[in-house]
Amino acid sequence: MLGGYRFHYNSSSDIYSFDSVGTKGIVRKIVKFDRLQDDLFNVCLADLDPQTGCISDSVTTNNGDADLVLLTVASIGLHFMEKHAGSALFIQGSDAKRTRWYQMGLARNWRFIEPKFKLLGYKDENWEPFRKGTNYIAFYLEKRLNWQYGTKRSKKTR
Amino acid sequence: MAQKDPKKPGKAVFPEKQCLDNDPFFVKKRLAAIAFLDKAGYPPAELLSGQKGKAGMHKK
Repeated sequence: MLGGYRFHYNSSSDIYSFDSVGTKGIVRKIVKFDRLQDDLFNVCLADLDPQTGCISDSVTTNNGDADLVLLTVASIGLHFMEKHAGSALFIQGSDAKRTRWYQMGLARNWRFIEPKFKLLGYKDENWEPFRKGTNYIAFYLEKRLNWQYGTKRSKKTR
Repeated sequence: MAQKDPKKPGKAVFPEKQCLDNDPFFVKKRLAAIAFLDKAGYPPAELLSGQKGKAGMHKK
């Protein structure tokens, strides 16, 4: 696990959940991976209201722990891709601000991501290898074929 | 939509996967992602690792 909050996986619903603890109290977060095509999954992060059961990502929680939430989502993504060998993730926020938030997280953890995963960004109507400092509107992530969990970082991948 | 657990007031119980798949929220997200990729095109194979099933579709 990369870090962040402890998360739970519900096998019957195939959904991940964790509690965001911050200035506004406890907010239940859920992460669901929706199959789009073959082994490509869309990453959905949302808030769950335990009282009403309503799921939404249209509200900015502002719980003061955005970095922790992002780390948790990354850990969950890692867990999911390990469970679903050969899977790839499509990542796009519900709006430009959220997409930028994901981008910042990816850039911040680039040193960890780059050796292990193939990360692409969508910009100017084209997919391209992710570059730090470039603004993208969507991302595609898959595990590199020559990397397995437990493999030491190779100079060749730098 | 997650359902309430009658034995635990305030505790949401996740329904089965199929129910969640059909939740309006996730349906909307899934359709939006599909629409985006249909328009933008999937990542081209030459950029990918060459894993099975990853062959990209050209942008329409």
